[in-house]
Amino acid sequence: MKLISRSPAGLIAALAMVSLGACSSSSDDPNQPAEPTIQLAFTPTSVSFGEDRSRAVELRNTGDEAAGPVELVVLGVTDGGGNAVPGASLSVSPSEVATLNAGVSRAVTLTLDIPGSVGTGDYEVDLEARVGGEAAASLGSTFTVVQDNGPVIETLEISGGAPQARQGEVLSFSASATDDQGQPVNDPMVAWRAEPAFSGLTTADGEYVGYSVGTARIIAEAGGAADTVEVDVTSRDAPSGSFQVAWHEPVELRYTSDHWEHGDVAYTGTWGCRAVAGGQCGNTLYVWDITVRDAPVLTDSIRVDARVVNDVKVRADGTLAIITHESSNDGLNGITLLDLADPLQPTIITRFTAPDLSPGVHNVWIEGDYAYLVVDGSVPSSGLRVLDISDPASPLIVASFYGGGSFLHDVYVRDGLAFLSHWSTGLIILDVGNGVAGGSPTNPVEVSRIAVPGYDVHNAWYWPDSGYVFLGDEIAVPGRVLVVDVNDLSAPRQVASFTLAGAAPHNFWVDEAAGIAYFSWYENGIHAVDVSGRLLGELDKQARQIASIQYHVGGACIALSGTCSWAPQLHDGLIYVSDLNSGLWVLQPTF
Amino acid sequence: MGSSADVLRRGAWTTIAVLGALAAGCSNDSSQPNGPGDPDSGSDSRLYVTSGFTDEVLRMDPSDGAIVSRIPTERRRDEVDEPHAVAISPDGRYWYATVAHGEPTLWKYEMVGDRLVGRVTLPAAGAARIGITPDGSRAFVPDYDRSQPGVPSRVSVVDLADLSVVATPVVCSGPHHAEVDPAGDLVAVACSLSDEIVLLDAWTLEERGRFAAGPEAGPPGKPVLKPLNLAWSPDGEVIWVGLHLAGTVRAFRPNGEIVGTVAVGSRPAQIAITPDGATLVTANRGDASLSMVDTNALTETARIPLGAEHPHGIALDELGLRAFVSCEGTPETSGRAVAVDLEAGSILWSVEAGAYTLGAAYAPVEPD
Repeated sequence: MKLISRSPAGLIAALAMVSLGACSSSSDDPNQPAEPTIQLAFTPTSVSFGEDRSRAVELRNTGDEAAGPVELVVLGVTDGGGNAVPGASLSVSPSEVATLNAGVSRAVTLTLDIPGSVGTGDYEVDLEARVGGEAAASLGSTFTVVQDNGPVIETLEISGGAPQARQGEVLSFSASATDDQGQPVNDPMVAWRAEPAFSGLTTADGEYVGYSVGTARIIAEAGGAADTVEVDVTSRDAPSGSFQVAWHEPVELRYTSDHWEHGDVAYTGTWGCRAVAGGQCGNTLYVWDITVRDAPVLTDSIRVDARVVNDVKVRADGTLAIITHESSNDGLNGITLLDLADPLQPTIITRFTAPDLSPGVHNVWIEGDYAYLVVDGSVPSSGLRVLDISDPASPLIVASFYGGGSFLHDVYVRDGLAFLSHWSTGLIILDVGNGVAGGSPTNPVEVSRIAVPGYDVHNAWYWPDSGYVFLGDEIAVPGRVLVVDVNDLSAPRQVASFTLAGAAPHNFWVDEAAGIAYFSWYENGIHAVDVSGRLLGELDKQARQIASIQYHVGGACIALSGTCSWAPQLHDGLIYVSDLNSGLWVLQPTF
Repeated sequence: MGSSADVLRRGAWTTIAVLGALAAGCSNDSSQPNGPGDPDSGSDSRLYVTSGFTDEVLRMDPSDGAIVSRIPTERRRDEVDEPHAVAISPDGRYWYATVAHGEPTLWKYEMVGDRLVGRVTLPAAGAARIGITPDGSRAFVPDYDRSQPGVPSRVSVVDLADLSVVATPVVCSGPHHAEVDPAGDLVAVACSLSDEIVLLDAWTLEERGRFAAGPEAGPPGKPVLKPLNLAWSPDGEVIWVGLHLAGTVRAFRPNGEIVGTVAVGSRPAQIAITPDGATLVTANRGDASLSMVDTNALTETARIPLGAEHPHGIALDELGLRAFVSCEGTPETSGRAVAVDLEAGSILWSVEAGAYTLGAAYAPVEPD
């Protein structure tokens, strides 16, 4: 048991102890007799974190067969009530062991990150060693955060907050203290908790967000004194409703990728290569006249040399569109710029390729006279390219950025800030004209970054008025959207999450005026979630889900049929959804 | 794959390879081979081709092209990862594949059951082909980075026992194929964007030679020959290099002396030499053909139309009688695998196989 100071001033001290109970499991499914038994084990069986909060354990292959790759997956930090603790994490190095031969062991370093917002209490974090997606060994770990004793407190009184709150409403409590002389104690070291523990989440700063309807007791303790208040947590009473399918325009010979709606026109991309009779690869942009909302007309198909047209974006003024391409026959990848003088029959301005872009362009964002391109690859020559498209017939690469570590997957630009979804490297914020760091489109300057161990940032949506960025990870299941507070752009912090079992999320759209986020969630379809107000903790426990729809029941994602939602877009009161398997769906929300 | 070194070593190791596979199966009753035709038997000849746009390796029956199984190489779900190359270990116990996109990786599979036993991320922009030392301990995977023409790129050297990257020497611009000589001493690297061939010591990784792919070679970043792939002669005396832009293959001594140049079909991609060293075959991406070259006479003896678009990979059987060509296809057409009878100069079979079908490797049948 060691004291860990959580702040330079030592106002709060924490005692963190982690014990790791190792256990092994094997993939001994009797239905798969041909599969060898994989046996892995962690040693030692318990570890206590000290001041550095970092420890090494050993992962050993105790079986007779080689195993690999071994993925080391952290399942998340939870408090005594089973609630996820935003911002707290256990990072693991390496996150993947290439292979473990029989009898061979590998050192694994665990590093605990406990931000100051984590309140006192007992916590758990589980780690799994997975082979072929199945757990082959697991570590159950716990740690305890306690406060330093501090001065003796005679009286402690809670103030602030409210006696009643809706689910998901964040209350801020404070506590005043006096010593045995009746003198006020400045900045008392208060430990906050709630009873029952599952009722909601408390933070070290005295914030509370309720999950369960009912009475929660908020307890403050400091220097031997305590105070309690009760909060009546009521139903959130979020809007409720459903989605109705307004119409569906199937695309059968190709998989459908991203889309964009502008005015009375919808543009849908295509992806991969479809193994059906007459199936084709993703070399086409489809153009739809959606003037008559329930009777769209395909007006044009633009063919390019590619196997993936992953993304399409239309400039805000509606005069120009850009489509991306990857894996062309001639090896020259890049983008195609389209003139939308006739938006129903775009004309190709130019196909722009460059050696820089040869690995393929996966996503694009257009902001005025600049286009931001995401170039495939995990090396410095890949990443972001900024293109001057003031003369769209002669685009010019004017800047580049690579954040290191992993590859860049997506870019979202708004208010002079570029939000880079940089996979395991995390979210990177660039100043591309905002001014906060002196950047410009031709000179992007990094403002900050945030990485969440085990979370591969696939996409992001920045909502300036709220100061939140919503992040998606399209790999990990159960799927989790993370909410990052960027009100202080220099210090982004994860504050909330929204989790759904069974599938992973893909792209988002946020109706900021209404405070509703539309999440596409692959097999799980489309989910509308109330994201109004302040966001803290697990949004999925706060009765915020408004509606959801799986418009194709059965099948599978990336298959002949079945829901496989790629991206939603709110347009003229309807939700347009591209679906990998089945084309363009239009949903009428009834809320 | 498909170099003389590989073919010879495979032949020599065939018995041991099969015994090894059987022994591996016997270590666990449930994984014993089940006999010819069974996908888990580990004793049949096999053809593997990579399907770059379905993120899988197809295991095929070399006798008729039937797809026996589909082995996923899904690094990132719902993203195109693009498996590129496939290669067989000299002892026949393992096969390896590279995934080129996103996070380039080298994958290791046991031949028995096609069981994945490892995967290592390579510090590379793009993982290309796989060259393996004759003892099976090391692999050389070039970083085929086309994004910076003229800028030297790396070759990842991987310890195949524990899949650790032991070194990443900077070699040349656009290296696509690194192949180890039959003696296991030298690695020849085809530098596609600098029109060079570089020789490395297979163990110290010191540079042992560097020469232009011909007098007409372009400067780094502006290749006019584009040497993409190469193959050692069985005696290790000659390095055959496919010059993609020139439509030729060229034979070099290891000191860079040119032995001869032979015109083949348009845009030759992968090449391979028969075990006796007498015939070189090329997969010609540009005109959908296979060229046969008499390596002694230095002449093209046959050009066989494949009837499939964009031939890319090529592998030979253990006797050098059949060639198996993986053909990319186009965005409008699927990939194909085509088997060619080299003696008759005829197509044995041609089947649809994946999409953007790139690499090919053949594992020999158990001898009597």
